[in-house]
Amino acid sequence: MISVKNLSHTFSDGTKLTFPDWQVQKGDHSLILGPSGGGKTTFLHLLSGLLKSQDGEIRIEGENIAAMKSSELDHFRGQHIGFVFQKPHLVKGLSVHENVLLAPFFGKKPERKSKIDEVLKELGIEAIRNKKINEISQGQAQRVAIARAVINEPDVIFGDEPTASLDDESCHAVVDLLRKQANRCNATLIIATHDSRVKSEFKNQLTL
Amino acid sequence: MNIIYLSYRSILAKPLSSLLSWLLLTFGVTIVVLILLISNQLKNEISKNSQGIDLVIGAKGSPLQLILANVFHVDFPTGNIGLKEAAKVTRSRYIESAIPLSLGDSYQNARIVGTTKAYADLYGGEISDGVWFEGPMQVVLGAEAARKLQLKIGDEFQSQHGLSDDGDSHDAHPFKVVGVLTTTNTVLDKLILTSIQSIWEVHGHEEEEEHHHEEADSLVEISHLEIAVTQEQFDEEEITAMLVKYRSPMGAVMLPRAINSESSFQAASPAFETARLFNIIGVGVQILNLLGILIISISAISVFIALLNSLKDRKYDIAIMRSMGATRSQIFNHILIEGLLITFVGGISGLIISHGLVYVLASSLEGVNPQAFNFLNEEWFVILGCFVIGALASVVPAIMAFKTDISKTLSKG
Repeated sequence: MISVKNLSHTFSDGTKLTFPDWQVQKGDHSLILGPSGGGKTTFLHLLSGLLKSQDGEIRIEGENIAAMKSSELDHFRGQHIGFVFQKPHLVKGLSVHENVLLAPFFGKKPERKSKIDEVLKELGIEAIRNKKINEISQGQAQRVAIARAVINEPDVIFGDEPTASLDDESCHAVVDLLRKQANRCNATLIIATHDSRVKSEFKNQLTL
Repeated sequence: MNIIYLSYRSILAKPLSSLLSWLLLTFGVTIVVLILLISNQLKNEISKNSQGIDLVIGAKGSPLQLILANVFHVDFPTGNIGLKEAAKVTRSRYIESAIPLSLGDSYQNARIVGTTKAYADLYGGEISDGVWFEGPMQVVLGAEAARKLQLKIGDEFQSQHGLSDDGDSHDAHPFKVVGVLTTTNTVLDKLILTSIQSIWEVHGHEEEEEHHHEEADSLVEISHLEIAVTQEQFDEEEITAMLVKYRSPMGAVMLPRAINSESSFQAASPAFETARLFNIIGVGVQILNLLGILIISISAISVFIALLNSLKDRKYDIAIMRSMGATRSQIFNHILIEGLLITFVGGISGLIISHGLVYVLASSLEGVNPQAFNFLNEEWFVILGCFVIGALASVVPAIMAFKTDISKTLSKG
């Protein structure tokens, strides 16, 4: 379960953003909607511990991450959170399965080969496991990014505009895959987007 | 998965700039280590070949040339000195022993040295096969000379006048091999030794030979040189030089001055002349060393620029790694290790190449014994230096990576 109370963030230029109190039950999936520049990404970064908040309380599975030190946040992210971004941003020097392997390595989770093969298979990309990143397509790359996000069986998966650069068909496929994978590892899926194609897919929505 | 592997793959992901950094460092280290190895071996060779020789007495001319010709057997002799005066000089109370040398002939580029057994003893050369020469026209071969010339005991050969291949050959006076010496790893190995009398006989005039037997009974002993000659030889013949050992340290003070001023000879000290030689080539060595260090510095700059450039592309990679739980210090190590790996591999390849080059050079140079796999302590400093340079070049990019603001980077997408 995720709960947000009295959360606000002040940027270095003095702009202050205040966020509404919010709760998402474990396993529920939710959208964060709003126009570009409306604070969606900031809210997502605060929720996921990428950005430290100055005020308020953010509880994920009972732990208040707003009070954590930066090194504790690193550890918490590795253990409990998975990310999918607008672009896959895979590490070019590594192969597909090595890219997926980065998540358990940095997240200090067991690096199990069988687990990786299983996830790659579910995402339909087991055939490219040994390929280099510059040899695979954009759609395949986004699937690798999803595999990387779910391999550690996180409690929460955050998506920051994961569909913005995809065509309609891939957009639906990616949302579908994300939801399936989140359900499989009983994770809460939270997607920040302004993509209207995604809106109809989720009941729970928070508009900023 | 570990950080070192991650750095290694990151190097391979940008092969061209990594290759440039590696090449520069390898080249710089090769130059520095090569100079180190060669000057070290040269000093070794020189000290081995001039051991036990305090002073060389020979004809006037360049003192360096006198040393080079008579100790190292590389240059041409300065000329000859009369035996009679030489014998007089050896009676000095500062001289413990003197070894006569008579140079000027060769056989297929191997120098023939007229001398006594004391010369072989000086370098610890012992007969490994056959016997020591006693009669006229008998020779003993150095180990390497025997191998290169493919001569065995009992073989005969005609010497050539002069030290190069194109000299006239002395057809009338063939030499006969009677012995081969053990390997001493000194200049002795490449020489052909014979008696002084044999050298005189090769060059002797026919009329002298007629007198030879008549005066055989009245031999003159030159005790310091350990040779006995006829009165006519004593009066008329010449030798090339004498290798002198002092009786006491006072000899070093008194003897050279006495000889240079009071006789028609000159005296030169191998230690002094080789030190002078090193001074002359020292400038060139320093310039080459500077060049090597300059290239190493350029390689450090190239590593720095390569890392800094790649940081722009990798900002997002770094942010993603941080989002997956990587700590700041893991990211710092990732970049630092990348720089260290390049400089380490460059340093090691420089060492390997320079040792390989020394091996090739030494095998193609006569008389130098290839000791390509002797590692010097200084080489550890070179490797250490590579690490320091790698660390210096990558510490700034590593700090920048350490400070990456993940949220800002990721929100720019």
